[in-house]
Amino acid sequence: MPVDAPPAAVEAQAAVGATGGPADPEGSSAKRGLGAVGWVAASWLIFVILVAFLAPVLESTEIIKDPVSADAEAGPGAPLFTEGHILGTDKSRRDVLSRLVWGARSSLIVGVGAVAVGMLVGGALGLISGFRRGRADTALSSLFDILLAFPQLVLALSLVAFLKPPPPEVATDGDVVEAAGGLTAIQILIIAIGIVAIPLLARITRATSLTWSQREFVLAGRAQGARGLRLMIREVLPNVLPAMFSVALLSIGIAIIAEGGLSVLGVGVEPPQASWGNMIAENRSVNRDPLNALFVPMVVVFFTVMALNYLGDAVRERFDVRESSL
Amino acid sequence: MSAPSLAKTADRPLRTHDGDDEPLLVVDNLSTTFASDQGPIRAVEDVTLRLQRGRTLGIVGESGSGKSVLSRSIMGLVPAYATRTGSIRYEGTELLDAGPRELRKIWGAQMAMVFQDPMTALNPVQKIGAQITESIREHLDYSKTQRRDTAIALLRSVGIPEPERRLKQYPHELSGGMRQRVVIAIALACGPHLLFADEPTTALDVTVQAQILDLIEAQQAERNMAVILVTHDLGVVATRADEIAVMYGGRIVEQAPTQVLFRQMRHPYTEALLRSIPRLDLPSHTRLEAISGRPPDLLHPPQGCRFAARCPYAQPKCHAEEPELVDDGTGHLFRCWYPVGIASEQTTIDSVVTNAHVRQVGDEIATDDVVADDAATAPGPAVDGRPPAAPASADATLAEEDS
Amino acid sequence: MAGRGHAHLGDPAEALLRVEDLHVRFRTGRGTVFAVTEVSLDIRKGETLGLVGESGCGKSTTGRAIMQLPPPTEGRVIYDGQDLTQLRPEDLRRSRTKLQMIFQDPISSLNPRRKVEDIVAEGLKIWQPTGWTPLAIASLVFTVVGVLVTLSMFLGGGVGALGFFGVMALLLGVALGLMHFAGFGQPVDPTMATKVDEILDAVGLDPTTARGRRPHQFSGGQCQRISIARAVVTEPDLIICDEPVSALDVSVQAQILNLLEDLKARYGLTLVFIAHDLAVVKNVSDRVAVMYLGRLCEVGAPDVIYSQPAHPYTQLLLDAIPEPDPDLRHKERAPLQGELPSPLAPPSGCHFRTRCPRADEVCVEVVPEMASTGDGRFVACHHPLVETVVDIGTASARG
Repeated sequence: MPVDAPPAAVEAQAAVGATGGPADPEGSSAKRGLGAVGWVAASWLIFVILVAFLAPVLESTEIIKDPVSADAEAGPGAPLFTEGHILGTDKSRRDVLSRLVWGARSSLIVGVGAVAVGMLVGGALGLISGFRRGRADTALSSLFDILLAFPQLVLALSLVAFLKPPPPEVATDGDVVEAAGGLTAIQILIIAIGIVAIPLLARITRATSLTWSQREFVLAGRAQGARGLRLMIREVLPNVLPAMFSVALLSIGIAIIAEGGLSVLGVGVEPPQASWGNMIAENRSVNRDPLNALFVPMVVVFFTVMALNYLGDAVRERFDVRESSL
Repeated sequence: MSAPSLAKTADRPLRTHDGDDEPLLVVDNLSTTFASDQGPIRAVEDVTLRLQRGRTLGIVGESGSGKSVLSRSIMGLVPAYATRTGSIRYEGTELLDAGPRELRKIWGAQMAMVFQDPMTALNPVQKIGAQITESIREHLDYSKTQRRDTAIALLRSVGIPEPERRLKQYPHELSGGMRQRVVIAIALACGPHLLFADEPTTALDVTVQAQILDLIEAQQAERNMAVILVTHDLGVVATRADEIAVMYGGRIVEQAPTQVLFRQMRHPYTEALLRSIPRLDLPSHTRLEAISGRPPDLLHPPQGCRFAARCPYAQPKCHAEEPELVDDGTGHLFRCWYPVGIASEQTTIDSVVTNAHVRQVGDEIATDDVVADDAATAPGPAVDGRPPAAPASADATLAEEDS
Repeated sequence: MAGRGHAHLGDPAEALLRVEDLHVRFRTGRGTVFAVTEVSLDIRKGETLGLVGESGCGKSTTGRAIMQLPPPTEGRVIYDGQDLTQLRPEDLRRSRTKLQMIFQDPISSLNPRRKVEDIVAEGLKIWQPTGWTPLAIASLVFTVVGVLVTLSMFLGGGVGALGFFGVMALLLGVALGLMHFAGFGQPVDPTMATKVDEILDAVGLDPTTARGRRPHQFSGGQCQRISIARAVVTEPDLIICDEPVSALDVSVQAQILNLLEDLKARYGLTLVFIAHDLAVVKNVSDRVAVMYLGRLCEVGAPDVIYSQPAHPYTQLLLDAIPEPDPDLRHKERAPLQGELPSPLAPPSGCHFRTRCPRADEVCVEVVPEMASTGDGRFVACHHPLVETVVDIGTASARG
């Protein structure tokens, strides 16, 4: 199930960063740089990204197997450390490791893509809303509130259904006619999750933008004759970006899980293409399906999302420090 | 006043003004060091004080001087990463090593503090009445009615009209001046013997300031309290303190009875301070003698006198060796190798006026070139959950900020 | 004490800036806040006008209203023959370089993400003429390509990789375009750097070390110097200083006050100095205006006003100030009674009447008018401490 971000708490955190509010009284050394755990998190993420990026290379050099073909020799549900399948196989006899690697690709593309859509649209709208206040803000905020009123899952499902291309026509003789070009499942997911993310990210950006826009250096810029656009981009945006960057990292984790939830509902990345979400979805009946095919992607998702969360926090703290030191 | 609030005070042996043999508070060589990831920050070093009941000690200094840290160190309100050494004896009892339970018995009942910002010193979601009776409940054995009566009497004694109605109000329903009065009422609720007033009027308008200071003075007289008044405003200590200690860079650099300090100051910093403040009795456009430079870096304090870098009279010895606090025999202490004050050239508050001259074009303006390294600008530790002071290397120069 | 009237205004021809009957009202959830009521001022070229009062008196609001940030609810602000309140937004924007402002909080008034040289040069960069820069051209190219590709995608059907690139190109083009209009990609003007260095030096900072650093590496006093540099770089005629030293340490205050006076002489500036500290205001001002709850009480030379205040509020204000002289410990004073009335419902007639020891029925009914006391000082009070003289000549001339 998609995990909802608690908007109020994240908004509050982003806003506090802007005003240099009460910092950590412990003054721990974790604030300088990323800290040991931060580096572990960053390393894990870099590793995952690299592996996902190099998936085709890995497959062609036989480091990993083909993720979609069944291995006739291995049994279904082979456990870990089976000969030839270090992480075992799933119930369709496909190699778990290679599915994991290709799945990383799909999940990360969906995660990053959705957040990119959310950030570009939501971030821009939130920035404008917080800067201009007044009527523009009221109008945009109402829009965000309307979108947020939809249960996220329902909204995502509706969007997916709306964007899904019609099923390929089947000719009278049973042959499948070439389907009309539509969006691929991944593109649909990016757009759907992205649209769901827009109001959330917009609200958070708006909060930060609001606080920074009311600082006196913005007024000083106006007093020198700068136009609104210039003030927004040159004065407010650079201050809003660090907070948004950390929110983005957190959101990628949420988007990955959202894809997982949609996979469980059957509208995620389409099999046989692998994604972490649909691996979990396919293998989720614990009694009947092999355990390793379920737990391995779960563990990987867990660590990845945790790493993203931790890094998001570390980034935010690092930039908070600079501000409150003034 | 026969209000129950004073009953407890009356039970204790009444002491007379100015005739005490035993000081109420004895502080010896108190030092407070904050641990930070760049090393220890020596916020307060080697402070020695004596205070009698009924007297007011003014501690004056700028941001970074250590004055606020000092008052909190004496009370014991320091965060976990602060280390204190030395001795603090209150009515004979050593407080430095006292545990939290012991300190809690003393806080409120014996020692109390009035903080700078009335907005944040009060709990915004708790009614005034509850906040006042909180410490009564902790320390005194009163019934509910007695507590309520005490609270009403306290509010009346701090000059808040319609006290019964105020008990049920929230802080945001009161003005700044009223809030500060409530803060004072809370501090006085259990009749403490020692009151710390940490910049009690900095956040208030000047007309309200006078009212609040009058109030503190009146309460002090009535209860025979000792008051430690911490401020950056020389005007406030001049008119309200019996004795003044001037702090700079974490140390006391001069200490004397008020009259003596203003008329026979010995430390160049005190002199420089007096010369740099604009005053009502100076004509318009008088050139102020600015002190160039900035307070010292408490993370890496200079080897010699802490004021040497900014002192117009500094000699080589001043940069090499740090002077000790010296008593000139009349209870006037100062920390300087070459104190000012040869009689004929003595700067006094009067001579500041007579020597004032109007600004000319081309008068030198003080430059301020020292810029901190990027790496060195980490925030200092927070004090009591407030935002940390600006980095030790680039000082906090906001008048309202804690040192 | 709150008064009205124009008696204290001089010859319009001599004033650099003239404010007439300024009103600033804010609508809040709880009602209308009367921040500034019927304030008229004139500021003569080369003088420093001190605007003093306690919190809530409207002095800062007046300063911002003069700058039209935001414009006042009512009133006229006449500068260089033009009423700023009547200007069209674009014309107002063009007039901005001549009136500048310095703020109270040195931290809040500087952008922590920008370098000092950029902060100071901003005033000049804004007015750099923009032409066709590489950035602008790139933006145009990408936008056009993106639009074409995306359109063909819609018309031709099929969302392939090409469609994806089309959308990306369009987005990139738009982003670059926004950046161009926000002022990026402009050619560097070498004379600007020289000017910035000159100004940094004038405010007492070392240009070579200060230029490339960010505000968090400076102290509060230095930050205020940077703010001053920013205000001075556009060669303004008038600078409104809104509590510029209130947030600074005592020893730094003197540095900044001296600096302001020095710059004023050097660049021929006119200053409006807003503060709550009477001693500071006296030190820098040629004339002082005292405000209370949105209205003016008294205007005149500081030496006159401070030695012999005409308005009861001024008297009470002066009495409340603790002087650094222990002999003045028990100075006679009547403490100010009562509480500041709410600006949502200021008292009728004279705003000060609820706390004034001399108030009577007249004060309830009639708003006092500014009147001269004969020594170049004006007071708005029905029962001033110094007798007012009726100046028949000017009264009839002004009508």
